[in-house]
Amino acid sequence: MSRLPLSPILRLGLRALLWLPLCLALWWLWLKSWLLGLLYVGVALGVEWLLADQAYGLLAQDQVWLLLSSLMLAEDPLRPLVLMLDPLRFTVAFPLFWGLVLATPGLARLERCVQLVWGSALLWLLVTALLLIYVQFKLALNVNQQPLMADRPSTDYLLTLPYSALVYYLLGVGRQLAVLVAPTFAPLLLWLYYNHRLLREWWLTVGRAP
Amino acid sequence: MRRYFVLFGVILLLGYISVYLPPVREHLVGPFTAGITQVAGALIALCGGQVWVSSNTLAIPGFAVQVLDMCNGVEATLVLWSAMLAFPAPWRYKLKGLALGTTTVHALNILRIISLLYLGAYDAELFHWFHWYLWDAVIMLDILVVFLAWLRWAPAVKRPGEPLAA
Repeated sequence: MSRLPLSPILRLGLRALLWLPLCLALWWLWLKSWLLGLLYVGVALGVEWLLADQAYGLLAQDQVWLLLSSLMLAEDPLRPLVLMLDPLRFTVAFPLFWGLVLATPGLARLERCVQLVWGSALLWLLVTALLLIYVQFKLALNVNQQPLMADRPSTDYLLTLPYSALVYYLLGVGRQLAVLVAPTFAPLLLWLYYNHRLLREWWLTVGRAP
Repeated sequence: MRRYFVLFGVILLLGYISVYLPPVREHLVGPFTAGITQVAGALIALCGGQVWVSSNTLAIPGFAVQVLDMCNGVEATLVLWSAMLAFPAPWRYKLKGLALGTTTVHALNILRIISLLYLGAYDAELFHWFHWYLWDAVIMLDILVVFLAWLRWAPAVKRPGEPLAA
């Protein structure tokens, strides 16, 4: 009995069923702390360069980061605001991207390695930027003391001027994109970008009626 | 391809900026989220489950969830709409894709809400993991699959000077 060749699309699906759970398990069990460490380097630098007027720096404590802000709480004696950040969600972008690249059939070994390395580097840059948006949003939330989107500020008032309504709203939109959408959407987009020729070949030619 | 990515980004950004405007959230997204919660509650009741629904809150014995941003499927729907609207396909086909794609995304999202509710009643840590990491990824992968399937059956578009794929 002759074996029918599987369509590349079905092969992608089947391979994704293997590689995505495997990469997610690898990430959760071994790689998440290491990825957090790598991201910490970029975000700490970003805080130092971009938010120097509002923050002294960033401290990593296991899987939680502490932002040491220079904004003073309206208390006696004066003390600075310290914000707790949860950056773990952002690292899920990496196993999703790795799983998709490893599941893509028809890629040469070198091409797959290049995608994995360069894609991860690009994701690192992107996720660092997303984390910086998240940090800026958290600061703004505490400065303006108004609930925004689904987030609420702490009850501590700060001795600083609030952001304008427009900037505050745009930071809220940025937060929604950076925290809710981009960590799972960016790896798909990056994978589509890398493999659009392959996809075009599969979807616009294979099996299509003339 | 570059034109597609730029158009996609512009539509997506405009979509997000509009959907988070306070009047839109209050009069459109809010009632829609409450509707999604009602549907999820009705499905649980239909299957014989004990459930309480109030606005965007869904409760079963031992656990309750509040359906908020991203959990209502609005963000995911916007991603799918942007991907389809930016693609050069006939409008009739785009509208069919938007209707079918939106239905698929929300059907899976309602399944997600119900599964998370029961998972939360079973184990809070598992709930967090599935809610924050796994289900979001599955919803995005669902969008990718729907979009690729839509592309697969899209009428071929002939650009000037480019032969149609055979």
